[in-house]
Amino acid sequence: MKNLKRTMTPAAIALGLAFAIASAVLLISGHNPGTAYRAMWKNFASIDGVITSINIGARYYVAAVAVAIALKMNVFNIGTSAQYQLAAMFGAVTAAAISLPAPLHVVVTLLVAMAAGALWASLIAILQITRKVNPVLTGIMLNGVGASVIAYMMQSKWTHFRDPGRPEYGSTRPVPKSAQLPVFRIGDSNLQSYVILAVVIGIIFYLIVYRTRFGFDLRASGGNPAAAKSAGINPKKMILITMLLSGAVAGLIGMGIVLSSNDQLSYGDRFPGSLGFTGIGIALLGRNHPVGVAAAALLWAALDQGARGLVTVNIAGEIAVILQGSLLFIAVIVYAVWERKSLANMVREAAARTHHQRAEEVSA
Amino acid sequence: MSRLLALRGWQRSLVSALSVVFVLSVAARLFDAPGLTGSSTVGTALGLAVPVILAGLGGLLAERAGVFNIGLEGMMIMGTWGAGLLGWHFGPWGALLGGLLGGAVGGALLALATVTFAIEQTVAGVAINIASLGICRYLSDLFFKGKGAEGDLGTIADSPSVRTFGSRFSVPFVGDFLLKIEDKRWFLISDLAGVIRGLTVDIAWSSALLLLLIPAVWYLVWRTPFGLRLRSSGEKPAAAESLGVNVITTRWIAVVMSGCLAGLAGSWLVMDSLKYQQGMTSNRGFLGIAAMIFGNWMPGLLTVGALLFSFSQSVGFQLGFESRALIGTVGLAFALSALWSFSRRKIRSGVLTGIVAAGVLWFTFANETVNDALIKALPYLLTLIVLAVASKRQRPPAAAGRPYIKGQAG
Repeated sequence: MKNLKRTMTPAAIALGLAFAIASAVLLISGHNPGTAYRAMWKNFASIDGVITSINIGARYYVAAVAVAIALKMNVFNIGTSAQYQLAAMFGAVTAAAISLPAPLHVVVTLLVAMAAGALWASLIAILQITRKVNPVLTGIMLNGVGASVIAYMMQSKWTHFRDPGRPEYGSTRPVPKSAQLPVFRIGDSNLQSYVILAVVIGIIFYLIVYRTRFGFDLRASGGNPAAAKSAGINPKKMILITMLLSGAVAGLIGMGIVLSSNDQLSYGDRFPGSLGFTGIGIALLGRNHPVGVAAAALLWAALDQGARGLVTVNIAGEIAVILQGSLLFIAVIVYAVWERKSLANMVREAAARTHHQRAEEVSA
Repeated sequence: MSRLLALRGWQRSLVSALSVVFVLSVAARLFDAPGLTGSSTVGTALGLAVPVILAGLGGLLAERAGVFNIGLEGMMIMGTWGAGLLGWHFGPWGALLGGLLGGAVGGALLALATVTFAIEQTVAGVAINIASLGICRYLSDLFFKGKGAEGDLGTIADSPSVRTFGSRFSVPFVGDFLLKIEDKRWFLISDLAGVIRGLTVDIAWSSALLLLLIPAVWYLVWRTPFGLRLRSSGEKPAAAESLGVNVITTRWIAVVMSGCLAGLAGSWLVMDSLKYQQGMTSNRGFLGIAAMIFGNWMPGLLTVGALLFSFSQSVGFQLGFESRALIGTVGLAFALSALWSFSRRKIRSGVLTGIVAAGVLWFTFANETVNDALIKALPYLLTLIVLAVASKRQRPPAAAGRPYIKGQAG
């Protein structure tokens, strides 16, 4: 309970400050913040609003977990952008190309997507391990290369990739029924079963990082590389495994869009390309913790959803992006200051205790 | 070779630049693509390199002072917006000032978070990148949407037209002379003339002015007392503080200047496209970081790195032959490095590099033209290959990325 309070207080302060900034921006530009927030709330607080937020939040969550795994050992996977888009393309192509009984078809498709993401991510690790190339740099470059690989494969000569039946826009062939992820009908809205997948990923993330030897090694390498090395942890192996894991999770970011029966059911021009960087922001906002990241992802998606309601009151929806950005910015400041303060408090208490004890010993 | 390695930074940059021109002129003959060393290719490359160089210099300033600035992209975005606003109202000088101010705001935000509050630097930078998108779109909605002259109205995604400098800059007298040599098609000499002509003739004033910042940053960091304080804040802040350097102030100034440089990169983009457009930075801030790492945190090599990238981009704008020749050049370079390995009796790496060289050269001879998608990937691939091959004895500033809390010196 004390733990909960310790995490919730700075989060609440940050949220309050972020809304204060957004309100100031709204006031300066001549809008009434109350009107804006009411419109946002109205668009969010309905069955449809909440379910859309959860659907989108699940993607954000997976995108953030992919980044968080690597950040747990201080490796920055900035290359998730290309990893998830490549994975989505190969996943969609696989799903359309093979025919298998229903559950198996989905599993194979997801495995292909994970393998694609992991392979692309492993390049970052390999270049770092063998040639000492900075992983941030490799990640950025591979994002560029990945976009070109996709452009290459989606040229009309590769009919397994680009659907010749729909020449008007570039997309893969439609995903057949047996490879689709079902949706749950709630009221008039559809909750994607991809959400369950996201929750499972979160649980596995928690178990691996906090409940296994590997997770301990991972956190140790991130916390103090020198100490970890002298404890017999092979840093090169850790980097490779971490990147493979991170890339495999990244491979699943877009699969809800590709496979859910109420969604795009193909990879193509309309596929969102910014989930990678959003994931980085959410991982940082949620402090790389499975639960914190989940809260951050849902909040982020809820703000997105709310922003779509701002059109009705003639306010630019970008105020939500300002909210998200300043929330992230302020949150990390508040976390750091809060942590430093409680650390200082702990030191002071401990010092006072020892001093007290010593005084008792002397008087005895 | 050991003597080559003993050269000073700028001399090493010059030697590597010259060897690149040599290999390129061999390739231009071998694959019959004179455009590879033509002045127009090089001139375009120089222009494209300017924003990357500026972002890289910005990264260099911040990181030399101990702050890893991954927010360069966001600062550049703010710079483009500022340049769009002031450039629309006051012309080219306004665009420069607007970019500078926009970037400075971004830099100040990063400094507040990373220097004053000493928080994780990557986190703050990423936050700036995310926030800048929303801020600029929101501000465009207020300042650009529906404003401007008839037929030239701004929208939420772009500004009304911005004027740039009227004339273009050429180094006097050399142009005609170099053109004559370039047209002779003499091996190496004409190629060199083409390259130099591309670098000296018919340059946009915005490029010419902003390129002066390369020596300026070098002078500031390596030849002034402030530069010494800046570098000591990035190498060993505690020691610097014990000697009376105000690490906090120094880092603040460095990070704000870093933002200014990224913002000026935005000014260049706005003057090049003649207006502010959302998304016009297209990851150049990150490319700047790449150039900085490539350049081992030194301005000279950083410039070479940015030019390498922009050159392969510029080659991609030419006809297909040039891209094919560039790929051939990579093959040749691999072949050379294989020979180099054999001469030093590193058989295994020699064989490996040789196989890669054979593969790349086979690809070049087997294909008449190069696929568009591959041309787009070439700049990224080339940077990666160069980085992987020139396997680095890199040395980032020792305290870069570490928050410093005042009084650590004790």
